Amino acid sequence: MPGFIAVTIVALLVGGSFVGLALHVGDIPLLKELTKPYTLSIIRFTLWQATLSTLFSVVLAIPLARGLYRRQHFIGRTLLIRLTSISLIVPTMVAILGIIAVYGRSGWINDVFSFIGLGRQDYLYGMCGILIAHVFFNLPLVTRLLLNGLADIPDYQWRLATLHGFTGKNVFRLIEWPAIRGLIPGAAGIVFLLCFTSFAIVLSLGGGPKSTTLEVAIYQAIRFDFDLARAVALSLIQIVICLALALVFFSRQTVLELRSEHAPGHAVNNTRPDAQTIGSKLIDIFVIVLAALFLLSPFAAVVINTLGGKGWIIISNSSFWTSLQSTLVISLSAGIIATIAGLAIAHLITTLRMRKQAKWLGTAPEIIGMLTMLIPPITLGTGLFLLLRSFTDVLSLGHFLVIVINAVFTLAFTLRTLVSPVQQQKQRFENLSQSLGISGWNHWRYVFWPSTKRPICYALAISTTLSAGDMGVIALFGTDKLSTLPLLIYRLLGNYRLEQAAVVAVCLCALCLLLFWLIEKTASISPRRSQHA
Amino acid sequence: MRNTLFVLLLTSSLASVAVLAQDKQTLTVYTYDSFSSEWGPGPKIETAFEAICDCDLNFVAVDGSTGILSRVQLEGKNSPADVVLGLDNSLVVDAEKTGLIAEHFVDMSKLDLPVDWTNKNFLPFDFGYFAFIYDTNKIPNPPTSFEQLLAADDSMKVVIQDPRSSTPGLGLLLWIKSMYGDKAVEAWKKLSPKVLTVTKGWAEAYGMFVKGEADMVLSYTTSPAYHMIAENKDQYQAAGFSEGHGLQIEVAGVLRNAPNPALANQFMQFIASDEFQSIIPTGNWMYPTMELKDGLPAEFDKLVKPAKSLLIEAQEISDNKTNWIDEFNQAMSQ
Repeated sequence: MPGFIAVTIVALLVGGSFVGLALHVGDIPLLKELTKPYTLSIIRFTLWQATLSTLFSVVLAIPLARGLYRRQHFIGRTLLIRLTSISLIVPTMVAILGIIAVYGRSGWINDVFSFIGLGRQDYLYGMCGILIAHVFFNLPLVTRLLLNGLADIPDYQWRLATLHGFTGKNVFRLIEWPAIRGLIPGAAGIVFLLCFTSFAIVLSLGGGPKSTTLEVAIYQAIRFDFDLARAVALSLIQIVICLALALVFFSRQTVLELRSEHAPGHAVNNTRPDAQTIGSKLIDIFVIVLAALFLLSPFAAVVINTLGGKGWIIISNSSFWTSLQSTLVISLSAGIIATIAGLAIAHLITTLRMRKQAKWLGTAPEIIGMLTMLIPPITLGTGLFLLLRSFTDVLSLGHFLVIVINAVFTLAFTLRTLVSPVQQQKQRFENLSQSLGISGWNHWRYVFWPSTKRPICYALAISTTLSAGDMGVIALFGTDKLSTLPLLIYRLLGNYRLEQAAVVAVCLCALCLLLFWLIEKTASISPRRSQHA
Repeated sequence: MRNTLFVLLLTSSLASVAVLAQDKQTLTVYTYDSFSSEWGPGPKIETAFEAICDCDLNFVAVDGSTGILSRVQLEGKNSPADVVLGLDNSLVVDAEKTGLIAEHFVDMSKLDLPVDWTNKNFLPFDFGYFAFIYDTNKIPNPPTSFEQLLAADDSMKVVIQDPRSSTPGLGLLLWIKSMYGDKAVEAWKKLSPKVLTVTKGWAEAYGMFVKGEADMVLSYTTSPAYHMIAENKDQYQAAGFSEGHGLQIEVAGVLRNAPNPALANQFMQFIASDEFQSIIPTGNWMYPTMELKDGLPAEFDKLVKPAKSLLIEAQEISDNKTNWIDEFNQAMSQ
């Protein structure tokens, strides 16, 4: 029942915004747009950059996941694995600052180039910058998904491998590859969709009009040309292309979940035959060091650039603290809503899947969850705005809308995290609970919560931190007194206060990491009484 | 943990309900973010106007000046806005076409602009010249004309803004058009290899420049005034071009269906006052549209004074903007 309500609300929000737009524009020039050479070139570019980004993220993730799995003990391993789970939630704005500070014309790499006499190179702005940023965000995500697959390899396979003295190549071909093969299409699918709808990265690092994605074109259609009909047409094109591709990627029902790293399944395993060879050690060290440098340097650069500067004065400004407060309120509210809705929908999906006759229905809520990933925020925002303005003063609803829309946009992630734990939980405990007559609050308290608290907290952590770094949604509705940290960064930049903006960026990043860590941590605090239950 | 969350949520929702339970009239002004922010001119203007109007002045920040217009268009006749502040000369005709703007009745005889302003719907509140800013420590001999900029070595990198999302970006497009006319495409093609990147807004571009990413950035001749006055630095200067500089005139207008028309008109009169205008130079870092009683800050004397102001007729912009942007797109995509 709650699942139906959640799905209905999401469907109403998404559908409603489209109805709002469609009613406003009348005709949607779908064919006209599709036959324009300009639109086609944008589609081509969008597909091309997403394909390349996905390819790099997945291909590079395989040796990294393998190396991290093969080397169970080295200093910083926990940190690196942690990083694979938080890269997703780093505010895009901060990451872009960091990437420019490392790879830009005045960045670290170019410092090295000019030191060894190669001169400063302009390679960043354009496809290269887009790829670096996309791989920065998605390599960790894929690595993490693949690590889950590797961790699920049963122990006896390793014993067999040792018994037969497998070489590294054989281990990969016969044990590891079969364990991750099934995960790759799904992982690639997520990355592809994330890159396909990329906005801020393409705008900042794309280098100009030659790098225009559909998402950027939609933004321009609404903001600059005020051509809503065109925006609706382009949004529909984006959704149809993505859904079609998603069907291909996700056709094989692979269980693809975002997992908290404490989850069972990350078993420690040390008895593999290929771990001690010098070749494998060299490869692993090379891959891990390179990945660590790649993933950590932008953070380091952002922090180092603020050290010793005058920007820290912003901390003494009351606006900083009110922005921090509203960031917390908005992100936590959005996170809680997204997690509750995610749980409700996960229940619905599980229930539908368990009823055999309605199995196909089980994918419907998942598709709705995914739709929220594909709809450009500006289209959703504008549609909702049009729909709501006839009933109410939208500005006064502003804060509330920002929360709800953020929740909708992070729903895709909470669903990914929650569906399979809820399913496993139901399969394991439903009959038992029924026969013991445990229901309602007691069921939640003693059965459901203890067995699913980790994924729930993980989902909350992801959705909260994603919302905390959001800038797009807030900018849509206009603000009077409201300020969040991302908005504050933008305002400081807009008024020449670059050093202060950089400091706020560091604080925002720190806040996201802290929130993530704290929320995930709550999962390991177990109430005393439940241990006796 | 759960309790803390709950308290946070509760206090926030209570706080938002309790806001504004007064019976004073509220004047709603739509503007762009950097104008209304704490570091822009907004707060000072708010205090000054509230001292004389017995009202609440509420600035609503919309992202960018194109955002202001599309927001009003979305809301149509039911817009809660009384005044829009922050459109510019390139958007005037588009804004008039919506039929949402009313005449303002402010006496414009005291206006002191580089060009004549006769539009009765929009009142200029500040103006500025587009220019490329450079770091004197890095470039001892900057180009002295646009032609020299185009002829410069391709290793000299500039950051510009996208004309579809940023007013300076559109300003450059018009500036080039007014100098090169039908040959604008060739000019763009010469500029293209020197363009490091095209950003969405002014802030991103300027930030990249100050970080040292690019040699020059498209901004205003008045930008160095900020560095001189607020930071005591004179290393950033504008390159003066002999062909002249693109002019931007920022305007305000009253909405035809303003909920508080009397207040709105009072605010328009206030815009043309010395009090409002004197906040502009060091608040928005632009030129005021009237001569100030106390004159401009001394640092403004050191700024580049364009030999010629280049401005394209508003109607012509409105008629051709889409084509010109297509030109830009094609030239820059090659």
